[in-house]
Amino acid sequence: MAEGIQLSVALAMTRKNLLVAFRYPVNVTCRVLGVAAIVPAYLLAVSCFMPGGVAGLTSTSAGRLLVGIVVYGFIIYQFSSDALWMIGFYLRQEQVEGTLEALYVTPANSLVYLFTRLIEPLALSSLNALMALVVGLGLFHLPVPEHGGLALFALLGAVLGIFGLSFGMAALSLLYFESAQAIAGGVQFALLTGCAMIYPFSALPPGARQLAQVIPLSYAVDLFRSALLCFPAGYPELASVRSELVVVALWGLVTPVLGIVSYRWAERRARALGLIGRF
Amino acid sequence: MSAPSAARAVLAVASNHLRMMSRTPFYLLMDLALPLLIAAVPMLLGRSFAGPGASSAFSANTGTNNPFLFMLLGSTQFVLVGGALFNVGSWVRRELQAGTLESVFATPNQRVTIVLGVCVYGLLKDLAILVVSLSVACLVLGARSFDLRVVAAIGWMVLGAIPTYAMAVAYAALVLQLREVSALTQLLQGATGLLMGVFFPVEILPKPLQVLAWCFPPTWSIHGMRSLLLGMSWRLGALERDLSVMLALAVIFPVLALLLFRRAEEKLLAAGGFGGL
Repeated sequence: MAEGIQLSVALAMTRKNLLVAFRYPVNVTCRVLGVAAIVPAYLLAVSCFMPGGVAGLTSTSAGRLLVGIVVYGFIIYQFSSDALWMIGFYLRQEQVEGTLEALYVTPANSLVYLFTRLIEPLALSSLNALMALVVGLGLFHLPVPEHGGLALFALLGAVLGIFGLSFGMAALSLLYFESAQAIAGGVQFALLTGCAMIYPFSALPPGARQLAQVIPLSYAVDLFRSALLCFPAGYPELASVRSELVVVALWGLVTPVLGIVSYRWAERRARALGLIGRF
Repeated sequence: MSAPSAARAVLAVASNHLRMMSRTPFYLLMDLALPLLIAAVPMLLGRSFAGPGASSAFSANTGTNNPFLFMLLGSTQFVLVGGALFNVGSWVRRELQAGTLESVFATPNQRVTIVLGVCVYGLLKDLAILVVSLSVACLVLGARSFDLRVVAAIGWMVLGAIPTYAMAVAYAALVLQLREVSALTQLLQGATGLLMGVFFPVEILPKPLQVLAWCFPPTWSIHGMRSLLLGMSWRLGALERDLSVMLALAVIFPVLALLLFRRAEEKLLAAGGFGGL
């Protein structure tokens, strides 16, 4: 099939996915407002450990640093969590509704389906990230973000790698159906806690910190928030900026390729076993 | 429909859901571990402040020097409330999407009986989650820390589950009318976490939010469990007073929920039934 036609298929699928994602404005509003509840819940939890409570959190430099770690880390968590489960979830939903098999008999490349599904988590996570920033800046005196270019690079690397993982989760969905969603939930929490997304790496017990050091996503998290917080003393925590840049770049480039390879393998296996249309 | 038949229908629906759950054991494991995972984040945040001041600050701000159990009870209740909304709300939505809700509601059972069956299933799962959480707490803190208070806390949770599931039935009525509510469920889960003081005492919220929080049954439920297991002061000064509020909520909320559900039913029947997507 010609590349031009694949492109027009991709555009049509993207448009359809955006239409579905934003079809119910109340739905989108609720998703974004949910962040306005979750971020304060975590920050109020932190304030319990601060002398002076909330006032102690927002008025001291140590408290504001922690606000920055929570809010900026939450942004990466948003991008990672949505992408991780959504692709596999929608794939399974298409199976349940009986439309996945129909998609496979069209001349469109099945990878186009996967790529265009990424638009919804990208759009929603961006809105959620904005909401987290507004809540942090407005209610908890979040330090103003700095080094935007470097932070954007770290975020891009993190997100590309997460997309690779989400392709892997989609592969699992083809073979293990609902169980794959539970695995995605497990991976989501493992990354949240293992990559110290909303607390400093120094808070991890020694064994868990060693584990964090072998997960490449940890370096993206560390680089992203260290840059936005203007590299306070002791940050980045895991390695030098230069080393973290290399790890983030490799994570962003290699993981999507591995994800696509694993999806292709799962797809062939699912076809051989007759699982594509299974409900 | 006679009471024994209704009870059989409730048990049949609950058993159907338990069987469906058994098809994906990893989901169950995730549910059981969820309170621990959720509690881990604020615990690790707290640890990042670990210094001589952190534990005394926690004690001064919350009234207990046991952040682990404080957070674990909060996250457990959070999972239970979120689960109640999700179990009932997403079940209605799933059946609507699959086109089976109208057929299920066309059986000789009362519609609310079927919804109650889903609630019983949720309650059984909640009990398992609470028992696992408390067992972990016992292991970490030493079983002697608890004794009979654990049993009392389980009883308190069951009592608190009645108005919580009543809220879930009211939510199901809303799902019947609004249809696509996955994000509303997420918003409510987040908002309930904030309102009931999942990781912090409700007293640190602004005054208007505090008033709202104390109208909300899970806030009483979580506060009661913390009072029982952590020796924190009762909201109204004594166990009997807090218990009488819980009993009142356990009567008022189910009545309100049934009224709302019936009203939603009538509106939908007048508009052509339960078959629309």
